[in-house]
Amino acid sequence: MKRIKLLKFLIIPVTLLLLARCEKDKITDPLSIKTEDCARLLWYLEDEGDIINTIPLPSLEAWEVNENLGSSLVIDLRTNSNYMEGHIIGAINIQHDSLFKYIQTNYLRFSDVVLVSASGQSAAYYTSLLRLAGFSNVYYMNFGMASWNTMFSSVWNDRLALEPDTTILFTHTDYPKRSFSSLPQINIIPSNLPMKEFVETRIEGMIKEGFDEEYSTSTSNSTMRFSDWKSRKEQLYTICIGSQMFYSSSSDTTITYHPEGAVLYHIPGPADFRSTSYLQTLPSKGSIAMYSGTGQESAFYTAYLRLLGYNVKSILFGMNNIDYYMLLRADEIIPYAFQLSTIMNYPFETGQGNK
Amino acid sequence: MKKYFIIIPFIFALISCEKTEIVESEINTQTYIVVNSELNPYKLFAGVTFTKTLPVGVPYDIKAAELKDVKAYIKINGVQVIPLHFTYDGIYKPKYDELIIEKGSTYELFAEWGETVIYSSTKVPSPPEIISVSYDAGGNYLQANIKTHPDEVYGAIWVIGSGSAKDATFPNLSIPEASALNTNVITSPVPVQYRGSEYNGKRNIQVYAFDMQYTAYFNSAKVNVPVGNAFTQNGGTINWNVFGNNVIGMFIGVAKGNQKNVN
Repeated sequence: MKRIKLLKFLIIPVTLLLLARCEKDKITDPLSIKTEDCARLLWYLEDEGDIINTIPLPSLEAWEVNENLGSSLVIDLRTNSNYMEGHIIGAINIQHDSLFKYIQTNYLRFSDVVLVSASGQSAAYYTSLLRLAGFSNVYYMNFGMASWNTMFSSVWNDRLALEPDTTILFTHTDYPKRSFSSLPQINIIPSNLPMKEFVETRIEGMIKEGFDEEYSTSTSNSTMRFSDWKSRKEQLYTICIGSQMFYSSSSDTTITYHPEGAVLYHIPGPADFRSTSYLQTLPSKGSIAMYSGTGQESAFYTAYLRLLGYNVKSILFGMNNIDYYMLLRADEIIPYAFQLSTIMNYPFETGQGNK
Repeated sequence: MKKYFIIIPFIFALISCEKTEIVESEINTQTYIVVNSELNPYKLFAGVTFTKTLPVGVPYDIKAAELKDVKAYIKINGVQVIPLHFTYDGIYKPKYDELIIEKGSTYELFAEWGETVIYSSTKVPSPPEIISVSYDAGGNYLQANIKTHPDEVYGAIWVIGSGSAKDATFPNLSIPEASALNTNVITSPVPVQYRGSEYNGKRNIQVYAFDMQYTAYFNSAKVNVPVGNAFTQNGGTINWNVFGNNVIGMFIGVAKGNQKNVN
């Protein structure tokens, strides 16, 4: 009996010790570090072609659309009542909340798909998102229906800032970009969701949410009126997208300038939103206001940056609504100005059309 | 009967350990992912190479070894994310070949290959600043006194003329004390044929600065480490600085100094 007790004292601790050693032998240190969803998203968008930094803006002039009527699908994004009042012959009327599904189903039936909105800005925004989703034959019509016929041009004519705004300071000062900061946080749920699926779902949601190109509201996630910018500019990181000439001419001339505090990001491509250049100088936590020549360019880039999670708003109508005459002072930037020559006065049809 | 109750677990425990031994022997034939990258300050980032080891006896072929579907990015100073994309021969680079490596910056590597997560980190050293050089006639080696920076170690090679002949290995690494402002670093002995007076003015020293993590690799390799090839697989006892299950390799900051003549 005593021998058994002794054995218990010896063998049980030895057994436990051996089992403990075996536990150590299992090794395998699971790597606790994980890749970040925001980085995976950026990787995916670059791997899919990084269209935002590489391609010229996919816009078509009204005359190009007119020449290709019949071979292109023209989608009129305006309200049904606006569409009924007059639209491009053959255009169909689709609202933004069903646009993604429609394109997904039909885009292969046409060589090109042209999005047309009232001013061109929301069409530019949706074109950007659809291209990011892989629909590479989608374009927007420059200046929207306003460039098609004078009947629709008031949307632009009414926004041209023909008097210099004396309440804000315009300057030649080159404001520096901010220091690099983290990418906006993105949470992909479930974590094993394929990135393509995540991107498509996110883009569909953004298109459904819409891009309010009307000038009537001040509460939009993706747009901002210049008048709203003036009242909030201290809280915003304001960026100007375009060329150096658009931002500010040389100091011995007074041709071009920018609102005080605005920081230049060069476009077109390779644009300054490359991962290897200045993308991450955009603040991931603050609010960003972006302006361009017409508001269409800023709408296009706003779409990409919002997809990445940045809180960016496009300033509607761009420099046309800030200081119109500045755009007429240099050949390079005149195309940004909405002019009489922009309006082609092509025929249109009224009523339901092909809808 | 009670004896058996006591002895059986004991035997079971021994058998369990025996099984672990079998698992370890299997690991020796495991395919490894090999990661290779050298980050040189002021130079264009040359990319990261992802390959896999090939079975024993299979001749090395980059087309068979390269991994084409790694999702990788680097992160600079814990902030800037630069995705890396496959180019050729297992080399992954930024979309735009314009990334210049900065001295003193920390570069982290994150990658996924299937279920495998890969991580590494390195701080890029400053190019070595030589304060003085000398020739040790007794040991026939060249020596440099250099300024030190935190988290850096140093090695040196001899170079004849403009590089017609040069050393292939570091004899050792100089690991300065944390508080040291400068340190000495020496080369291997200059070969006999280059010791004559006709080579006066032609003997140069070139100093390399490494991220401190290189020390573990250097020491574990035991032998003189080939210059410019920190990634030779010398066996299973080498300490690499890339982490992940069945992942080996080096992702290391290296700064090459200019050649300095030693009379």
